[in-house]
This record gives sequence, structure tokens and C-alpha cells, in this order.
Amino acid sequence: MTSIRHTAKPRVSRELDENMTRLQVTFDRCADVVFRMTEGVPAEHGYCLVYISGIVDTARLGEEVLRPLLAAAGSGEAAADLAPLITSAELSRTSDYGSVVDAILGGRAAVFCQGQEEALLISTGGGTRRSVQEPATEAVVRGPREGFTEDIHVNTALIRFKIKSPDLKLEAFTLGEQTRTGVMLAYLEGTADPEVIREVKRRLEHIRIDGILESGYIEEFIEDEAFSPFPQLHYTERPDTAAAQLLEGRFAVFVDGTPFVLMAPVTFWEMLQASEDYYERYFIGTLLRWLRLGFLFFALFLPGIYVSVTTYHQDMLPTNLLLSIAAARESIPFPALIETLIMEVAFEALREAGIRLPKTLGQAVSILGALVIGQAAVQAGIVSAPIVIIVSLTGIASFTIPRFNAAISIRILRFPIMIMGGLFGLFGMVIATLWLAVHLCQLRSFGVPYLSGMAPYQKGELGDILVRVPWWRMSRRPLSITGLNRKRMPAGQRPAPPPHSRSKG
Amino acid sequence: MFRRECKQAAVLVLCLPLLTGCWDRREVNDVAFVSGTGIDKVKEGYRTTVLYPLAGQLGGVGSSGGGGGTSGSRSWHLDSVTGTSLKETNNIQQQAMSRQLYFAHRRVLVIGEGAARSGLAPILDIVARVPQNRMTGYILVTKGDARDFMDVDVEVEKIPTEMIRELALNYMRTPRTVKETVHALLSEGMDPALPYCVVDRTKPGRSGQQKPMMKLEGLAVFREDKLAGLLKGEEAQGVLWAMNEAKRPTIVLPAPGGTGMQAVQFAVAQTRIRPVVSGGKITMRIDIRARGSIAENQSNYISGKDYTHAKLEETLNRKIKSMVEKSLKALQTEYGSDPVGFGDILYRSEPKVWRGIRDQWREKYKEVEMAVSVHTQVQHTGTIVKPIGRKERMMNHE
Repeated sequence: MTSIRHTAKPRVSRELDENMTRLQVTFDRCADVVFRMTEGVPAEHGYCLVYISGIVDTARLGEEVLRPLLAAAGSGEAAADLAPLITSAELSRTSDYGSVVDAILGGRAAVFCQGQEEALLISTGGGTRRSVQEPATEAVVRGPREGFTEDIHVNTALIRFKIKSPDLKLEAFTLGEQTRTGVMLAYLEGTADPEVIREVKRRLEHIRIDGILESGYIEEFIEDEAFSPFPQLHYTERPDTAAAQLLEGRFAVFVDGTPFVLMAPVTFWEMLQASEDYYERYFIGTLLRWLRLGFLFFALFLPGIYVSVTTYHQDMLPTNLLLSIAAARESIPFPALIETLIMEVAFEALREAGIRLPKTLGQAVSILGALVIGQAAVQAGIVSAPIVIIVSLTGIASFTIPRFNAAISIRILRFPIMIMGGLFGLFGMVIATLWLAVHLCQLRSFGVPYLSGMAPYQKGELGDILVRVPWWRMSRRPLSITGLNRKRMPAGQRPAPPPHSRSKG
Repeated sequence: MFRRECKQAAVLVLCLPLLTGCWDRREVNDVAFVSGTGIDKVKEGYRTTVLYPLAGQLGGVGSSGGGGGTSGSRSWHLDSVTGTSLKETNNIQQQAMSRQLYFAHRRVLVIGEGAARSGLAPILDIVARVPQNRMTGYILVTKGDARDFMDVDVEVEKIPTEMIRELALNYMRTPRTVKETVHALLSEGMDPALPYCVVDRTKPGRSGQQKPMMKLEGLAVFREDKLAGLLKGEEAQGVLWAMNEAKRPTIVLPAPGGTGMQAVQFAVAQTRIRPVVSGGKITMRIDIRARGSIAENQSNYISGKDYTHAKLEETLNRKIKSMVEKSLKALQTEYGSDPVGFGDILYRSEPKVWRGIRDQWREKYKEVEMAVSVHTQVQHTGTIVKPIGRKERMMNHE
């Protein structure tokens, strides 16, 4: 197949038979390719319809293509050009044989006519795909319930429903030598940084791979720092999140076959932002953000702090708390570090098992795990009760991070920090934290510093980092993402009661 | 290029565990957390008593014991050893211990009467010198031996030191910590004063057995670092009032013109001291202001119709005044101790005068005139106005 597609650009022949022979060679042993030859028509007016069953809507194909063609053939008049007869909305012609093959594989029907050097390509849509459903990974209480699907056209349409502006550009790429996966780069022209767009296009065009099955393939090809535990692109299943990112000057990469859309450039702080922060009133958004920030600290440091304080710095604990811990640890055979590691690993395994197993079994796993970890291990004197509290608190804390990929990086980093705490006490924790801070400071996402807003400090951006200011105060887009078109809305829109209120009299 | 860097980093990281070790690692089950130390003076030097809770007996999961002192095995252990110095006694104790004695959580330092009389300064040196020891531990004095006091099996708390700590905490407005005591020792014209406790016996019902119990008795006053006297009752109360350390003080007094006792509890008690020097004569103006309410009235006396308590307040003023004066007199003449820090107050407001007399302060102190003025305010009568359970005609309105 590749040989046909890439050598010397063969063209569509005048002779129908020649085309058919060539196609049959191309689609040799492809049982799903359908050739619909005309019957009862003189050979000089013969034509052939080629499509792949299952990925085209055959009902529409029959209605919009076959019926008019057959009607024309039945009337005995031979049309020189069949195109005017076809009622489909999407119709194009090409004389390039390779494009015809691509089109057929991409779900279009091709019509070849005797005596014409062009094939007609008709798009009827179709193919069974999942319908638009509520996203499974990003649930909200308040906010749109629709999520992206596996169909790239549905996905781009979902964005178009939200941003009805010609500035929203969607540039198409085809990646994957075998899969020929449709990829679309979306951005708001005049808002997104053209440098960033040029860069992402360059990176996308450089990808050489046999297949793209998920946006994750692309993510690893286009991120800035491959050896960082932190994600430099975010993904979302929610059109509203993607639209919000586009409006802030970021780009989005849609990949056919996956509901997950990539977005960049991102900053560390987005790790703690959920789309709902912007839908509920700003008090709620701010408080939730503080909660997540606090629990981010727990998720990262709590086991390490526990290990280092109980093995090195007992003087830092209140006496009664220390005595409780001492009483609980009295008959535990392992050092605190080993104990914590055992429990943390067990917890991670439990979580992994819960995700991978069928839903019905997943329940059983969590019940069993809770039983084993929560009670039996403690009663048997293998692990102490405080550790169970620490591990479960850490687990809950890592669930409060709205972005799954960011939460994973925190989960991973917890272990080196814990080990440093176990080996060197709080001193080791400080070293680990410093290393982490240095790494975060030098990390970039498409050239944008990962800690933008805080470091380098951008005046006014803390309003969407530490708190969530009301919408009427967010009059400017974040400068760290784009320098263009910064004004989001005119300032001074704070609502107020009318100056002469009736109740005054 | 990158691979090489990775290799180098890996080598460095692998070296780390070899270069250092977890030498300082100290698991909580290898440590005995000393929660209180008692110090007594004996012939050879000192006797140190350490009290540490037995973690295994504290009722943690996995340990079969639990319960504490009431049911056989106690949840704490007491160990006392004699030696010439405190460090020596600690070393001897450590030799008989499988766990490391750990002093960072010591909350009380109990000084026996004998040790207190021989001087606090040598005892406090080790407390301040070793960083593990906390200066915020509470310090108090016992009548008799500290060891006997710490050995009392308290019923309310799991560990005796917890009880001791609460006693020390509730006696004064600023509980005396090691730090406070060192401060008082180092300040010119000020002597330490510490709460003092005794071992008392419970008075149970007919069937019960008498058991020893801890009791906070009064105030131990010092002259320099040596115990000068143990004050109790009103004498101690008077000093506390003068020190501005009385914590929610209660005064019980016969009701004016009435037939029974009345009690007033003060929520606020403030003492201000101002020295007046005129021609070599030093007068301390001690101004006490207190606000409180009637806590009990057994008499048939009822305050004025307008619910002012002028007469009661007047009685209170007289009572407090005489109490404070008596206590101060005793301090000046009998004990020669200055826990209020009159010298310090003089130093602060009249440094020139102080410099002239600092060497003869002990002598001068005896002659200082104490001008006590008390102004109390009874704000309300509690939830009832009239004495309950008495008919109206039996009331004695003023």
C-alpha cells in the first residue's frame, strides 16, 4: 500500500476497468471494501462505487448517491458528469489516485466513471461511534454535562458550538503512517501567541510514527522536558474546559479516536484548578482552591513528615500525641520508613487494582483492601494505626487534585520525599523540596515557565492562582500565556444596586 | 551525552547511603520518654527520680496491657538513683535501661524540699545546658521528698506527671516554668516563687481505704536560689495577689451584717505597683483592682435595693488589703524573700536610686513601706439575686 501511495503519484485512469483492477490490487484481501458496479448499463456509461462498509452510512449513500444514479441509468440518458446527480452535501473530485485511497480509508465513498479522469468523493458520514455523553473522568456539580467523544468531527463541532468566531482556527494534520489519524490544532487567532503556534506546528509535523491511537502518543512527542514527572500538557474530556483554555490563548490538539484533547501551554497552578471553580461563585472557588492547595501539601509531604518526625524529631510532637504514637508503635516490627513504604505501596496497588478491574470486581477490591489494610494489619501488629491514618489521608489528598496526570506526578514524588525523610530526617525533606523547587522553576511548557504568575511573578495573575477573583475582576488574560489581545473585558463591571433604591424612601 | 550524566548522577546517588547513615535514627519504640524528673538532696549528692510512661501499657493496639495504675500493672515506671551529680545519676539510670532516656518531653521538674533548701542553681544548670531539655517544663517544689510525691498513683490521669503538670498549670496566672525561674534568679531584686505540693491522703467513705494523693498546698518562696519558706492558705494567696498572679481568686468572708458566709469570685484581678521614693524612704504603692461576682451567699444578707454592692465591696477591700499586707510583712521580715520583685520594679522606675542601694537591698527591703489600696467591684450576683431558700421577711436588707 505504501508503495502505491508514495511512488510517482499515480493518477486516476480514464478506463474504469483499469481503475478497478488497480483498486482491487490495492485493497487485496480487504474484505470490508465494497465495490458496487453498475448493472444493466452500457459499458461506456459504466461507473463503480467504492466504500468501506461500516464506516459509511449506507442508508444515506443509497438515498443520495445510488438512487439518483440508478434513476438516471434507468431513464437511458447517459450523463457525461455524474456529479450534478448526486445530492450529498459534501462532494469533491480528485484525479490523484493516492488521495482516492486515503479518502476511501477515511470513510468516504468514491465513484469512478468510465471515461473520466477524476473520481468523485462523497462524504455521507456514518460509522458507529459513541454518542456525546457526560465525561466520566471530570465530573462537575454545576456545568455542562457533555463530553468529547472518539469522533474528531463531533469534538471540533462541540468546540464550535461554544466559540462561534472565525478567529477559532482548526488546522488539520494527518499523523501515523498506518493509522492516518486525523489531528487538529485549534487556537484563537489574534489571542494565541503565534510563536507558540508555530512551535507546536513544527513539533507536530516532525512526528514520524506508524500509528496514533491516543493523544498520549502526541503528548510525549511534543512536550518540552521528557524527563520531568510533571505533565507539560493537560488533557480534558470537557469541551467547556477546552474552550476556556482556547479563550486564554492556549492551543488545543484534537486527535481522532480519543475523547481526550491536549492543551498547552500550562502552568503548575492549573493542576489545582477545576472548571467548576469558574462556574460557582468566587467564594466557593477560592475556598476550594485553598483546600486543594493544603491537600496538595499533604499529598506530597505527609508520609515524609510522619517518617522523619517520628524517627528523628520526636521533640517536635506534642507530648500526648507522641505518647499515642509510641503506644501504637510499641509492638510494630518494622522501622517507620519501611512501615510507611509498605502501606503506601499497598495503597497504590489497591488503587491500581480498583481502576483496572471490571467495575463489579473493583468494589470487592476496595472492600477487601480496606479490610486488610485498615483493620487486620493493625490488629495483627504488622503496621500501626497512625500509619493507616497517614496513608488514607494522603490518598484522599491526592484525590483532591482535579487533574489526574498531575495527581500521578504528586503520587510518584511522594516516594523519594518519603525516603529522603526516612534517611536524613527533615533535613532530607528540605533537600528534596529544594530540588523539586529548582526543577519546577526551570521547567517550561512550550516556552512558558511552569510556575508563571508566581515565579516569574506577574502582577495581577495571583488573582487566579491563590484565590479566584470574581469574573468582573478578571479583565485581562494571563500574560504568561500570551502577550496578544490581553483584554478580556472592560474593567469596572462590578455589580451594584441601583443608586436610587426604592426602599430608601 | 545525557546517558553519561544519568550514569554520573546514579553513581552519586548510590554513594549517598554509603557516605552517611541513619545514625540519628531513633524509632519511637527505642526511646523512653521521660515525662518528669524529681530531684532530692541526699548525703552523696543528689537523687534523681525519672518517671516515664510505658508505651506498651498505654493501651495501644497490639499491646495486651492497658488500663494503667488502677488494674495491677502500672502504665508508668519510676526509677530513682543517687549520685554526686545529676548527669551521673542519669548515666547510672541509662545503664539499667534498654531504651534511651529522652528528655525533650519532660514536662515537670519536681524539686524536693531538701534540694530546694540547698539551692536551685546547681540543679538548673543541666536543664539549660543540654539542648534536649526544655526550658518550658513546669517546675515545682514538694514538701518532703520529690520521689515520694511522684510515686503517688493518681486516679484521674494516666501518668502522675500529667497530674503534676495540671496542678502547676492552674495555680498561677503565668505558670512557673524553668525559664521563668531562671529569669527570676538572674534578675536583680527578684526571687523565685514556685508552687509547692504535698502528698495528702484521701478521706474515703467507711469501706474505702485511704490512698495517697497529690495536692497543691501553696507557694514556696526563695531567697536567692534557696528555699526560704513554704506559704499556704491566705498567706500564699496574699503573695499571689501582690505578684499579680492570682488566678480567678475567690474570697470567702462573713457577709456584712449577715448571719453566714459569702464568697466572691473574681474574674479579673489586676495589681499595679508604683514605687515612691522620698528622702531615702521607699514606699511601694500597690494598687489592686478586681472585678467579680458573688459565687455563694449562705447568709440572709442581700445587697442594696439598687443592686449595688458598696458594703460588700468595702468589706472585700479591707479583707484583701489586710491579707496582702500580712503576706508582704511575712515576706519582708520572716522569710527575707522578694518574689514580687519589688527591687526589680524599683530598678526599672528609679534606676539611680536602685544603683545607690542595690548592695544593701536585702536590708532596705525589710524597711520598705507597703501602701496597699484595693478597689473591688462586685458586678453581679450570679443567676439569682436573693439568697435562695429564705423567706422574704427573713432578709436583711442593708
